[in-house]
Parts: sequence; C-alpha cells; structure tokens
Amino acid sequence: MKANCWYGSTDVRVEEVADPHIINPRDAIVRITSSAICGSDLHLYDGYIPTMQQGDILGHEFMGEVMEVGPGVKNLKVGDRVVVPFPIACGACFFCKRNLWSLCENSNPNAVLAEKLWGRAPCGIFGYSHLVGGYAGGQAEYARVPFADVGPIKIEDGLSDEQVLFLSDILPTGYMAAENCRIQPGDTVAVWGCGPVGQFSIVSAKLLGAERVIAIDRFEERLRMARERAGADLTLNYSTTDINEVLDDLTGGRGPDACIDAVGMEAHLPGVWGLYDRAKKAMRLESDRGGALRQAIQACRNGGVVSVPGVYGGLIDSMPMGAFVNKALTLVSGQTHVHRYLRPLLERIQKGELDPSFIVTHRLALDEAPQAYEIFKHKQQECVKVVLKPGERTAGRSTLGDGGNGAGSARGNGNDGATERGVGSVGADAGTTRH
Amino acid sequence: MANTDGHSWDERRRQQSGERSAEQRSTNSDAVRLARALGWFSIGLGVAEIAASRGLGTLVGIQRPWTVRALGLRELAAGAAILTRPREPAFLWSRVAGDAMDLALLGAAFGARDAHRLRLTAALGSVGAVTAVDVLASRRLSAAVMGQHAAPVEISLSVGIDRSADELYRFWRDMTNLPRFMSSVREVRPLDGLPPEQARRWHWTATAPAGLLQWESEIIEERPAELISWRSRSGTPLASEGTVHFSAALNGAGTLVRLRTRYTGASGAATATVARLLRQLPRQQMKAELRRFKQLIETGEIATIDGQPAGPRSPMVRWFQRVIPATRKTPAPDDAGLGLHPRAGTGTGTGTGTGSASRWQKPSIPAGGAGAERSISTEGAQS
Repeated sequence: MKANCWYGSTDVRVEEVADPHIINPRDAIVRITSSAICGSDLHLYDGYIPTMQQGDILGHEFMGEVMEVGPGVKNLKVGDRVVVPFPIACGACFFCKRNLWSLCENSNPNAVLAEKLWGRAPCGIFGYSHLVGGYAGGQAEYARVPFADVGPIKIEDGLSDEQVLFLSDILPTGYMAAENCRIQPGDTVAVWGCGPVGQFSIVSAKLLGAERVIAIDRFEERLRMARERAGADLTLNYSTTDINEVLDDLTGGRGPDACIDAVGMEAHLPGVWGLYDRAKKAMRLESDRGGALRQAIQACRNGGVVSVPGVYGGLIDSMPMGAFVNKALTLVSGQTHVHRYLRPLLERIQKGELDPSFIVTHRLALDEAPQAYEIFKHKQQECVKVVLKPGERTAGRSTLGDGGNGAGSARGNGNDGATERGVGSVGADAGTTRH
Repeated sequence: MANTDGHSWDERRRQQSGERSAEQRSTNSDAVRLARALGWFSIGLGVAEIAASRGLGTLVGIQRPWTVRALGLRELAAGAAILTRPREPAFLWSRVAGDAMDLALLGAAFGARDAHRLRLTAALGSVGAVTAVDVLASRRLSAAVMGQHAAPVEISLSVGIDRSADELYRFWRDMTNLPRFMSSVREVRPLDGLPPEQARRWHWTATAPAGLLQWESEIIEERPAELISWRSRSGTPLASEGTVHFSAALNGAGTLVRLRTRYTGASGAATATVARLLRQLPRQQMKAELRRFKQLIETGEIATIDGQPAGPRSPMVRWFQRVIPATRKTPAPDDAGLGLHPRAGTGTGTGTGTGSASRWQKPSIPAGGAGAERSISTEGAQS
C-alpha cells in the first residue's frame, strides 16, 4: 500500500510499504477513505517531537471501512464505516475505567521511553513518534487499529466523511478544551490560535454557553473563519493589536474568565518575547516556544482557567509561575480523551447542531501529502485544514485532464471531486458559504 | 504487606552473600597480595629516585636528576594510592601507565649525543620486565573486582493490576505462563512431573546475547493469593531468586503486584559476562515485563508494533532495532501464548505484505474513492 512516511525535518515521502495485518486479537484493519493532516503533525514535520524514526507512517485523524477484524473484536464487522480516535485505549485499565482514555496504561508498547522524558507514559497514539508507541499512522491506504473493539465509532450512512472525520481528534480536542474552561453563563473566553482546534474551541465554547468568545490569530482568513463560521464574537490580530490592552478594555480590566491556548509549542510572537524564544530555541535552551501560553496566563483573570489543547512536547522557558500562583489560576490540559466525546458529539452532528466540515479548505490525494504539508505549514492558499483522500489517484494539476478517471471520480462523488481542489475552488467555497 | 516476607528475604540474602564472599575472598586474595607488593615496590623505587637521583640516573643512563626526581614523586604517589586502596584496579593500572612513560623516556634517551647505550638497554630490559608484572597484576585485580561487582543485583518493582490477588497468584503459580510476558524467557517447564499448578521444580530456558541460557529453580515458599518465592537450584549457572507478592492495591481496586529478584551471578567466564549484562539491563527489563504482565492480564494481549508496516528504514535504524533490546517491543517470537496471534508475516518493513495483501479484495482505484457510503456530499450544496 501507499503511505506517507516521515524522513526528517520537513521531509515526508509517500512510499510503497507492506499492507498492515492483524497482529493482536483485538486489532482491526481499516481501509482509509479520509485522513486529515493535523496541526500537531506539523510539529513532527518541523522535527520538534523526538523519537521519530525514518520510515514511520504519519497520521492520526482518519476514518474508513473495516476490512478485517481480529478474533477479539465482536462489535465491528467487515464493511462497517468507522471513525478512529487518535488515542489508542484498552478500555480495561485504571484510567480507561475512569474515562481518562488518553492515559491508558496498556496501549503504549514503548512506555519506558516516555517515562524517561515525562515521568509517566500516556497512551499509544497513531503516527506520533515512538514516545507514544510508534504505531503506524493513518495517512495511508490501510491502517491497523489496535483495541478496535474499544475505539472506533460506527457511522451510519447519511453523513459525509468530512462531517464526521474530525471526531477522530480535533473536534473533541476543541470541545474538551472548552469543557475544561468550566464555562459559566456570562463568561468571556479568549482563544489563542484559529487553526482547526482553535475553530472548534470557539464553536464548543459557544455551545457550552460562553457569552463572548474572542479569537486571536494573525491570519486574516482564519480570523474571518472564526467570526463567520465558528461563531467568535470578536477577533483580534495580534500582529497589529496589543492583545492585553484590548482584552483589558473588553473585560473592564479584569481579563477573560478563561483562556484557551490552541497554539502549542511553535508559537509565533512579535517583539521581544518572540526573539527571546527563537534565540533560546536556537541555542537549545528550550524545546518548545511557549509564547502563546505565557500570554494566556498573563491575560487570564484572577481565579480563571487556562486550558491548553495545544501540544507541548518538552520544556518551555520563562513559565510565568508568579502570575500563575498569585492570580490563583487553574491550568488544565491533556491529550484528548476522545472516546469520551465520540457519541455525544456525533449526536450533535446528527442533529445538525454542529457541522465540523467548514474548516476543510484543501482536499488532496494521498500522493500529494508532501505538497499538502508544505501548503499547510506555510498557510499557503489560505489553508486551514487538509484532508487526504487515500482512495483516489493523484488528481493534482497534472492529472486533471487524465481521461475518464478524474472526471469519473468528480462526477461520482462531489465530496471527493478532483476539480474542487486548489486556490480557486477554495476561494469559491468560502465565497458561496459566506453569503 | 511488604514485611510479611521481609524476614525470609533478608535471611536468604545473608546466607547467600556469606557463601559468596568466602568464595570471592579466595579468588581475590592473590591479586590483592600482588598489588600490595607492587605498591611497596613503588615506594622503594620512589624513595631511591628522589634520594639518589644522580647516582640512579647515571646507573640507567639518564643524566637529568630533576627528571628522575619527578619520576620518584610519581612512584611515591602510585605506591601510596595502591597501598591505601589495594582493591582498586585503577591505581594498579596507573603503574602500567607509569611504566609506559619510563619506557618512552628511556627510548628517547637513546637519541642523545652522549647516550650510554649499554646502560640504557639494561634499564629498558628491567622496566620491561616490571611492566609485564604490572599488566598481569592489574588484569588479575580487575577481573577479581569485576566478579565482585557483578553481584548481587537486587531489584524490586511494583505494578497495579485490575484483577483479584487470587487470580494473579494462580496465573503466576503456573510458571509455564511466565514466557508469555517475559521477553527473554523462552520456556519454563515443570521438572517434578506434577501438574504446573503444583510443580515446585522448574527448568528455565532464556535467550541471552551469547545464546541460550538454562537453569533450574524451585519454589521455596508459597502462600495462596499472597506470595510465591523461588530460587535457582545449586549447580545451575545462574544464581537467582525471586519473590512475587500480591496485596491490596492503591485506590482500593485490583492488586498491587510486587516483584523482587536477585541475581548473584556465578563463577565461570561465560556467566560472568551474563552477570555483567544482567547488572545493566534488569531494572528496565523487569519493568517492561511487569507492564506486559499487566497488559496480558487486563486486555488479553500485549501491545506491540512488531510486524506493522513502515517506509524503508535507514541501515542505522535497522541496526539500532536489532541491537538495542528495548526497541524490540514483543516478547519471544512464540509469544502467542494465548494462541491468539495469527501472524500473517514476520518482521517489519516492506516485503512482508505479500501474504496479507491477498486477503481482502483491494478496490481498484479510483473507483474505491467513490464508495457508496459517502453518497451525501458536503460539496454538493455549493454547486
């Protein structure tokens, strides 16, 4: 099969690899129909996450069709359409039983390594370094899904891939980030970062009753999406605005009740702090750039909550511990306990309360993964979210006129249409939906 | 709970270390005696070099008294160090380094215009002889001390498992189960002809870097749902003992399993190597094994990525995976103890897929992309 493999910093390649097979009794094999590139994949792409090995298959946001199940999987059958949660959880250990699925004690075969770095090991995760097990990921035609009797959720017909795909990670991640804010009626929530997780944090904060959600980013198209699609009440561009000043002004000098850091370890900051982090990072004095987190802690109101769905891998420098203590803040984070949110969020999607597909700006074939990473990393073509379609032939510019194939695919299913790709169509998409 | 067995544990430890140190002393004493003698020799030579630097210099053919005095100081230091810590091989090895320096100086002196070749040759000969003795003595001392350090290795680790103490006890009491989660143990079989849950004597086969390692053990104490204690039988190459306890876990659920093992190594070159390896690996390995035990009990399988596909690996990574045991995630190849591992292929990487590929009908591309299940499209709305 084809798979998108990691080969080093900004080096991913689509390689021909062996097909996966059932290894353990509770495994299933899934033929992948849609697989997204996550913002956290960019941390791998940029070489920020240690213990990646050349040849590792990337991808942890995927869905598809069950092709085979192990003898221990009774709840799935061949042909079922499933979304696969990114954390791998056994369902039987101390943490799984306490609904803390991403802390599963039994799914990380490389726990020793993670314990060296973090003291304790989290669960196994698809395609996200050997610290979390080294599992082959889902940016491939097929994937082996361990503990398939626990994780994957069946999807009935009637919902498109893109409506349910993000149940695998970023929708629950945004939702958990908002839930962790313990939002009270009347609350103001500020969200740093309007990437996909930021967008879903905004949506979720509104769903959970926040009176006002303030979105912060530097890309106008993302701020526009936050306003127009996610429901942010207000957007701030930090490259042109003094965030603290405006937040002060908006909250009577008190600060937001909750702050969400949906940026993580590769924060870009203007000014002195930005330079500080870049220098520290260059000298290897810190592994993660903590600019957004610092700003969130600084801005948050006394007694407020700082919720961190953004990914950090190692150490940040100049953690404002004084602010944290003296302002009596609560800091909440964690890899998302996706299993906990699958059913309730699917129900919201089924009821039409939520349509996560709005974040998708790019649809590309699996073969185009290396370009897709470049586009996503540099936010070219106003990219917010890329969905790879492993079932399809390369349908980039070169193959568009490729006889009946491309056209057939486009005709057969508009969702996957090759003709929908590219800057023009994305613009059109945004245009039509806005009005 | 930890103290219920503390008594017997300590008792055994005293016994064992008593035996071992007696045996160690005999192998040790010669090397130490020789080290002491060489220490005194250093002192004597050092005193002579300082007090009679001119005369001694003339004797060996080096006409630089200050150089000879400096060498004397070095000898005094080496001698003092060896005599205060006669069991420290590093100090004895410092004499070998000193000899090398002396030989180099004598060699260089040959080049001088007024070189006294006969005297220099005689000096070279005697220093060479002393060097030979020093090397021999240092090696013997190193070997003796190494054997001493190699043992005993004692590890105690615990893990919480969500099952009753009784269930876990019964699983462990049948020691044929152990290879299912102990990665290096290939087989454990009962020796006394009793059914596994009653057998007391066991034969172990384990893989070691040098090949197969075999030994026998016997259960020396058992208390149902509480503890099992075993030790290797005398005459087997690997002296080891272990105790596993089961007690009420934290958080009031499940069982706290505590495993204590102790390896005392043994005499013999091959087992000394094994013991040295054991000294480096066991804690991490035992931790991994307890974790696999937990996985097997709680989930019925052991989490692994062995056999999954990957893109072509670089030769370095392949080497790393072969050599460093920690990067190998699964126990022995026949870990399908549950009979549940229907492996289609073995090994990782490309080339293993041919067998499995035929098992499902791969949809032909691009038709596969337009599966019927995705008949409703989000994009449909905008066209």
